[in-house]
Amino acid sequence: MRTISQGETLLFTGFDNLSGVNAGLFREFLRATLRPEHRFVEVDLQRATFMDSDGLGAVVSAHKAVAGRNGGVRLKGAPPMVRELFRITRLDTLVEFVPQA
Amino acid sequence: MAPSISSSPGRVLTLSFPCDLAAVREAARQFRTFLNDQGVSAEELDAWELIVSEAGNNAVEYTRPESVGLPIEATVWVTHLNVELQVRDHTPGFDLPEDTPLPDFEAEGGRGLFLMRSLSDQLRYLRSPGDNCLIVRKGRSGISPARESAGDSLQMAIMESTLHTLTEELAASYESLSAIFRFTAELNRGGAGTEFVDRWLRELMMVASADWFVLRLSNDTTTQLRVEGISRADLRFEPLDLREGQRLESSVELQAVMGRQDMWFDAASPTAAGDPLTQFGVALAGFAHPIYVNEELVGVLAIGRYASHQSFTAGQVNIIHTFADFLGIQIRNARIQEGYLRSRLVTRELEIAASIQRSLLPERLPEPPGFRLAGYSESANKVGGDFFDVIQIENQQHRGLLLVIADVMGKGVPAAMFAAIFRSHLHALISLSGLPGKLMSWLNRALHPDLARVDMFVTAQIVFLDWMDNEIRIASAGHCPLLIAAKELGIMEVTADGMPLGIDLQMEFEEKCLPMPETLRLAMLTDGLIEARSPEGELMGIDRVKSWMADSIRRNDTAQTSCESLVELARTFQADAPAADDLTLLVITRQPEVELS
Repeated sequence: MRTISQGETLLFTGFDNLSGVNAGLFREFLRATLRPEHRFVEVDLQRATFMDSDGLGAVVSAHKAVAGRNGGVRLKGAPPMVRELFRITRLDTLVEFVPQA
Repeated sequence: MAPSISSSPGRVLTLSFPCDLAAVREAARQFRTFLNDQGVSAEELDAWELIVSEAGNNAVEYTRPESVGLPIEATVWVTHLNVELQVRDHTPGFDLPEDTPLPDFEAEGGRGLFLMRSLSDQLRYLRSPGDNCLIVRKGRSGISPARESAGDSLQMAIMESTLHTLTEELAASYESLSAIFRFTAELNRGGAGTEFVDRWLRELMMVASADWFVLRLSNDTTTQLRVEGISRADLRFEPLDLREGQRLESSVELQAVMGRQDMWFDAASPTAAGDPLTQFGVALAGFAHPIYVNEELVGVLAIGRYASHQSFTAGQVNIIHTFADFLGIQIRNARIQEGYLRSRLVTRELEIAASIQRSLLPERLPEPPGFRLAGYSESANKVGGDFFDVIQIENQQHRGLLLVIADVMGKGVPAAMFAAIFRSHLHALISLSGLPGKLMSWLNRALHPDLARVDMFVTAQIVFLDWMDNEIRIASAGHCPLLIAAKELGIMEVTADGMPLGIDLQMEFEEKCLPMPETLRLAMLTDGLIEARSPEGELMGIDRVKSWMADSIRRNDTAQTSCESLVELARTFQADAPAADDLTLLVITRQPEVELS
């Protein structure tokens, strides 16, 4: 997992799942790398195949971190399994799904 | 660390993995691969990978600190119709709620249970102090025809492997079921008595590998829990008080009953020092299970082992629950049956007592020349304490008619018994019949010891119609007035001084004497008539009875029709209101044209 600062966006990339295994790590990266200029957190899920409720919690924490900055969380290239997870838990309005590049 | 595969024949996969989130992730992957090999659809694979992950993560995140070194075990069964997952954890456990709402929008956790429920058909959680077992089941869909055919051909192998894995659970269930069948058959031959309960619990002790038990049942008033069955006859357990003020912390059995949930004890949370269960030993492991049937408390079963580290498994706890709850139903049914039989017995006893009471009344009333008599007696209950008797006296000292009416305080069997005793003494003292005052005094002395012992009394009236001396002699023991109607007298109330029988041992009863009129109508009553009430609560009173007597004279009623019209008056006055007291009356008429010798 790594983060890339791209202007107003902090990009998370480099993982094949967001779950109990790395949700804690995601939060640590968020705390360590989020700068005042970051209004958006983008999570690159193009290679990801799996997310669980711990992963959801990690995304919610990112949302809370940038919601006050008139920004939000974008999930890039989320697979159907992840989209379904957000739908079931009614968190699909919390994030913006963006197609993969 | 990769999970170890301990068993994977056919369509069962059991993984045992360390208490670690990475191991959970790896186990979820392996289960996904396994399920894929079994032809589970892609959509279901996503769901099962998520379910395994959620269940495994919970098992890791909530493991008790002392159990971190223990492996987590997960098994998946695939059948033609279902997929089932069982995950055994070493957490303190939790109460599975009936409903699992989504947490707050911005909550960062708490969605795992919701997801598992949303993605499955059935979710159960069996708890025990040693390990808990989460069971998730989901029906299969989208099996391809080719897979289905392959599945059919493998059916026997699947069944065999599944049965192999489930041997322990099935064996326990078989023990439980066969015991239930045996005892159900036995129940048909008798109620859930002490011997039955004892054997039932000893069977349970064996099936669940327990070392001891104590079963307490609530009493009729649900104020106490008393021991009904115990594994050690040498121990003495006092009843537990269910009323307010009882110190709950002193008994896990009480805590279980009051909280309506199992209360566990083991090395980590031992029983309190003063808890009655400590009689079994200090280091115990087990639980107290409250037994309720239809919201009604039946009792509480405490069961356990002597070693505080040997807790029951989830399967054993399930068996104990089944046994205890089934026993509770049998005990409650037996109680209902017992109550019904008791009520029938009481009814039968009352019928016998009523029959005895009826036999106390004269079978036929005498009809001396010129006199006609009619009597009536009805009890408010099946059995009452009213009594009347008429004896024609023909001896050297006296010739006449002895009329007696009595009312024993109270109603029911005790009152009827004293009416019978009264009659016995009366017949024993028949030589005094011409002297009602003296007769009453003797009756008082004879009855006083028995009446005083049980704080009861009898009111009575004795009238002797003496046709040798042409007199009416009257004695009363606190009884309501006698009504006499005669041309010379009109209608008058006559009473004599005297306390009820059984009050004052030394009482000497007054005797009133009147000349016997040629035309006479006489009514002896009990207070059931005078004190009868209308549905509006109005009292009958002596004046209404006097009016009845005037009407009866005007109509020239016979003794019989006169008696019947007085009964009708009482019934009409009370309307539909149930009679509060027994009603007894005696009507005597004397015809003037008959010459007495």
